[in-house]
Amino acid sequence: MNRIVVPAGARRTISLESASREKREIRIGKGAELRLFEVQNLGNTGHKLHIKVRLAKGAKLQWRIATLGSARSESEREIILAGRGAEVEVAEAVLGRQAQEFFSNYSLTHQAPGTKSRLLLKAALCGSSKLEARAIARIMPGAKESNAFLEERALLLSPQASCEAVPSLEIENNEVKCSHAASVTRMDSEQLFYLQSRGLGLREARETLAMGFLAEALKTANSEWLQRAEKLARARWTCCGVERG
Amino acid sequence: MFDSSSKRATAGSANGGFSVQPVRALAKGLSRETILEISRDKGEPEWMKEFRLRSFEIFRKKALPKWGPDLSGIDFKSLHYYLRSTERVGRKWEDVPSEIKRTFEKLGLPEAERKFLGGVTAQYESSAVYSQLREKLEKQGVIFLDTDTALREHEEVFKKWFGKIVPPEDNKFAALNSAVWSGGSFLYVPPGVQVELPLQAYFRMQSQQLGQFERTLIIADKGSAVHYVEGCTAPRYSASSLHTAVVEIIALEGAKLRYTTIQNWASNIYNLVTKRAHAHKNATVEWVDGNLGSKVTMKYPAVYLLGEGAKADLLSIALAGRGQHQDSGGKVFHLAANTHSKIVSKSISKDGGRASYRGLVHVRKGCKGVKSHVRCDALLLDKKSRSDTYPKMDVQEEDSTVSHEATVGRIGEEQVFYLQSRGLKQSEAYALVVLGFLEPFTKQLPMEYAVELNRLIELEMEGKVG
Repeated sequence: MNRIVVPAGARRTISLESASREKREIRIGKGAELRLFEVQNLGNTGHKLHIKVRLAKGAKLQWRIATLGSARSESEREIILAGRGAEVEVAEAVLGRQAQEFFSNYSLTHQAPGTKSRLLLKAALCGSSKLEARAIARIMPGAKESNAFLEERALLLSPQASCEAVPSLEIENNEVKCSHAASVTRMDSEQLFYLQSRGLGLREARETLAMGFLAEALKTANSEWLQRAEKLARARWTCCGVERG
Repeated sequence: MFDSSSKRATAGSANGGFSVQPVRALAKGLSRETILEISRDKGEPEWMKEFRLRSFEIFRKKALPKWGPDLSGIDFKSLHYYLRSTERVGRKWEDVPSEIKRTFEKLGLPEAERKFLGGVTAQYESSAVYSQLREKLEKQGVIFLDTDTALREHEEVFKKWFGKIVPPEDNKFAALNSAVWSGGSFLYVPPGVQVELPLQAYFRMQSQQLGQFERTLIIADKGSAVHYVEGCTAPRYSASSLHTAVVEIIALEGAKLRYTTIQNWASNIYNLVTKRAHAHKNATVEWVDGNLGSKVTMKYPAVYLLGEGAKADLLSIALAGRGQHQDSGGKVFHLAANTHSKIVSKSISKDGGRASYRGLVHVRKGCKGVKSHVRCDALLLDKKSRSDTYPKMDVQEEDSTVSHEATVGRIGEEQVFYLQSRGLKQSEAYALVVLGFLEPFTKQLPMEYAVELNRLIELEMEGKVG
């Protein structure tokens, strides 16, 4: 078990490079802030990840995840908002190609009043790749004035790609604001047409749209990480090529 | 074709004249012998007896669902699985809980109706409107009977569809219903026939409709249109604690079918219902589903879109009060191209109640041009209550658009404040906001149902402060 502790009042930035198997526990102390950046760019191996994060009073977490590699990636991210006013903002971008399989699980538990959570998951799926995205936000009885928003968006880029999305809510307090949204769609043909009319080839137009779609989940002030994540995603995209006319 | 039902209504004999006469309650609990006795008592064909026995085996082997509400309170051994109508009539008005009587009072129901709903009388006086309607339906060739009579009088069409949409293998409770079913509605609408007035099971006045194990089978033939309404908003009392119905619907090519149901079972009832429809090419199936009563409800009306251009529309509300768990939702399977679906679900939790939405949208690979939209809104009226949303989207086709959105919230203080500033009492203000929240549902109901539902919500909101 790998344990990370961010002491009270501290500010930390941590970058993680995924190994094929990992288990971590992270504790963010009172009023501390953590920015956590994860890239999963494994080769054709399996990937199993379990990260548990606990936030104390007033703690903040910004979490960015780029999930690109592995033949079969199973991740479980457990976030506990234990202290009053704790906030978490997590965003994951998944780019699937060939026969990659992704199982992405999130649980966000609001235990204390005034806590906030926001989850954004964006997935662009090529080839015969497959994503199962499960997220659950729980608001415990004592967590009044809490806010939770879950969002899952998937773009199917080939006829063989598939996606299963289950964004769940369990709310046990009425002084809350909670919502979720999810969609599974294909690339907008009007947008493609527009880009082509501006002189881009189909290949470039598709790349621009897919990358633009994922970019929203990667957005962060950490430009170094952002550039790296985008570069890796583009490299993967180039390998997937254009599956269909 | 309505002969037998009219005879029953006028003769006042709930047994109809076909059942074996000796009146004797079957022992509690379920065994092979119970099933054989039910089948013998009804004088059923051999294939139905076999079907019941096979279903019983499946029921015994299947486990209770491992998800959803707690069902451990059901004691299968202490239940009566078959009660002849005459036995049911025996209950005294005094035995009906006073809480339910009060509600009847406040809803302003006629006395005959109160007794019927309280399970005291098996039947409810006929009216002229009904017989006129019946003549018209008869001319159109519409068959509208209770399920037992339909099996005897229209075995051919019955056998063709019965148990095909919801096979006993589907789940433990579908198996139980298949083994011991009794009563329910059978409706067949011939090709091209448009039934103008909503058909109400309420009007049919069959005592057997009140059974615990109703079985409903509706077939809308090509190009026909019908609206079937079942249940009622007034609370329904039953001494037994389990209600397990199966509803099977077939909408053939181009047919349009709407099924409206509202349940308001007493708070001791486990209401576990399997409802499913098949929609063929260009057919439309609409479920309008209201859940107000019961202790635990598990009900997920489903539509299988089997033919190109088929459409499904699901609209549901759930009201979970003290000690209640409403676990409801909807399922749509897009199994053909260019099929569309829409699910709208609204729930209200109060006094520690729990309302859950559980839904599924599936798009099969190769089904192009599918569109589906799911929307869930939940209202939590106090701190003790709970609301859950478990939507699942399983999309295996690129050329499809599937989306889901949900919100959970409470009544805005500024809304209540505004209404109070206009002279309303706080409880009235709350009731008004709740009625507004439910309005998309209420306006889809036949008028008398809408009026009753509104009155009932107002009652529920009385004494509800903050």
